[in-house]
Amino acid sequence: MYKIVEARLLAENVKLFEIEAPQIAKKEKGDSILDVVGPLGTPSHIEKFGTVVSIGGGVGTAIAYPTAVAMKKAGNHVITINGARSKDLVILEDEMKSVSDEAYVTTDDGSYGYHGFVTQKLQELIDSGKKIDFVLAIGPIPMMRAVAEVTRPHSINTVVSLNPIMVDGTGMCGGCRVIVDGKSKFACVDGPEFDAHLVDFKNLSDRNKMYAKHEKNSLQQYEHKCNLVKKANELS
Amino acid sequence: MTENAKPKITAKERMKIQRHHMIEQEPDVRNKNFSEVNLGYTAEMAKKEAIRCIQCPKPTCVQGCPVNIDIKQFVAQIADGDFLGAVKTIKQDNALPAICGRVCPQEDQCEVACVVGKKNEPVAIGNLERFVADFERKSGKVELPKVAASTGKKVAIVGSGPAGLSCAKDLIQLGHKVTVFEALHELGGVLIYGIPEFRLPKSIVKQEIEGLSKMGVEFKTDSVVGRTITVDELMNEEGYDAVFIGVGAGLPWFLNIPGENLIGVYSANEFLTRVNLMKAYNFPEYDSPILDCKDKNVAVFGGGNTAMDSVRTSLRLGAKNAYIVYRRSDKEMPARVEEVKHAKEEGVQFMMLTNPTKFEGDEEGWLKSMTCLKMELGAPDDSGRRRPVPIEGSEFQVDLDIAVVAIGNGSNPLINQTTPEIEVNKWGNIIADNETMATSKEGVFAGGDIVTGGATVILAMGAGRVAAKAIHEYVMNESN
Repeated sequence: MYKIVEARLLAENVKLFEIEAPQIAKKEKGDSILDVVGPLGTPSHIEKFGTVVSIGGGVGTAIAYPTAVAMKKAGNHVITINGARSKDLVILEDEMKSVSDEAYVTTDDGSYGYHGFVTQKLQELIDSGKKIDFVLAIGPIPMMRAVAEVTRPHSINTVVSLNPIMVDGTGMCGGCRVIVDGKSKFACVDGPEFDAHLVDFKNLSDRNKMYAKHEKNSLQQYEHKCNLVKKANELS
Repeated sequence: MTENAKPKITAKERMKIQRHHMIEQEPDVRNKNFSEVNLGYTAEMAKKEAIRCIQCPKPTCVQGCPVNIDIKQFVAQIADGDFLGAVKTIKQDNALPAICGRVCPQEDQCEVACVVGKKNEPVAIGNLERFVADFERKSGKVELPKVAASTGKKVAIVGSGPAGLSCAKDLIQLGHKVTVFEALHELGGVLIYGIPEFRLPKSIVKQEIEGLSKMGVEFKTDSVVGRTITVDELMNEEGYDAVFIGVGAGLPWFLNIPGENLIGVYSANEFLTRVNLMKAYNFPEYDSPILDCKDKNVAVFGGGNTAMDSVRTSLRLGAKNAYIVYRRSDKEMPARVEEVKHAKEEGVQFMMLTNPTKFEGDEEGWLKSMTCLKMELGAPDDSGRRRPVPIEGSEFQVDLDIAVVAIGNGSNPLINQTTPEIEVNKWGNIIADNETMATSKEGVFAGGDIVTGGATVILAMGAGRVAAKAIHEYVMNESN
């Protein structure tokens, strides 16, 4: 049983842990989670590359942040691009800034920071003649795929952190297999970080939709239960 | 001895008694539920079956048992109606009789060696073991073995499957402090995530583990040794005097054919884990889903017990057609005869001498069909079984919604990656001494599937016990 000591879970505390399930999002300070396991997988490769661009899209920023911290510590010139759909979805802005030599916030709708996608900002940086040695991108699959296409013509070493559906996270089920360079890899033990230019994003994207119907159903059930509890509380 | 004395019968009368078959759920009923298929013996049936044993002076069945249970003795006790005494006899050599009575391949071990079996069907040793273990559990008179005075030594056990549990039991009895580390959130390893409820009710496994807890074994879940903590940390920082590795064979093999990453292709590990451990059959009450098998075509690849478990699970999830696809013939199938029989009765369709060559899907990546080749048997291969050879031009296509690959498991490299001084062979299995289960790293022992590759519950338990004995000697040796 793990007690939640801070309701707003910072990236530092939950390095490898995505908070997307509504059940977890609704947790308050003092609530608990029955099981947490980690760290799992292969650690991020950190070294002094030179200039590093760390890109976080949406909640992906929570995962991009600790890597940016480590890259900075390793002596890199760190540029961060923190992207979100709109202003109220930008997370960890101050934290990202604090480890960046250059920090950018982008919003799709232009409600805050740079108006556009993270890839547009990245393209501008490349076009400005800046020598970029390493790019790390963590976010929605279409974003990571687009980043790979931006850096490919320039042969910039690019790594993406993949989020396939997993069961145990220890290599036992093979559900998280992704195609990298034509071969099956288990993201939970071999990953989650892979060479962006070798990943089969179409397969990953398809596989991640496997339980879309179930997820919708599950969410409806959950909300229904929440409403019942709320009603019961009102009546009592 | 109880009052209920053994009836005196002649050898001729004894020979006339036919082997008793356990009461079973009807095939057409059980293939729609997850409850146990076998319902076991009544006390009357058990006694009658035990009388079939001729009490050989040199019982060959005992040699046939991987842990040498005193079968002659416990069967005699059953014939006398002393069921609790019989369990005691079994428990001297086997910590988990309710489990082994269900999942041991007795037909290849004790029962194949039974002298009665030369002329008639052998004594149903497995069914009898199961009966007395269940009798003890239901009687509420489960006696926990005595625990010796504390030795002050600490042993870490990695993995809570059959090897780890049996090792833990022996070591706690010898007075050591024992901690079992389990990667998953529930204890039991393959007994929980792998073997389905209809073959091994989870309540039985849980009760056995509770017994160990009561004896003082400490269990730590969510502990992935090799990731969240390493073997070296256990020994150097946590102060364990010895470590036993019983992590099983946990890296699923795939077929390596085109289309294997389409949606709908599962490893048996994933398919069974979702259903057994995560209770996907109760979705959405439980949160982990599984693709809907109802009225679908499901194919399971492989001929072992895991393949049978998977295909029978798919039937229970409502599959319209449930196929076993196996590249050799019936004769070469490694699954237990009983499992194959049960699967056939329940309506599983067996596609023998058939090898899949590719999976086909739609644009969104969903599995739609498979292409197979017909095979014929050629000359024997390394395993002594006749090698299947493709028949040219025999391709055919089968509509398919879900595919489950159950062709075996390799060894999980997590521990090896972080503790490379534990030597492994070319397949990644840990190399352990046959007599002591000692590995190349001092104080570290290993047993079960991580050493042998995929095998049986009883062999893993046997290895756990051998290791426990050696670990006891190792930690009690002052010079270590």
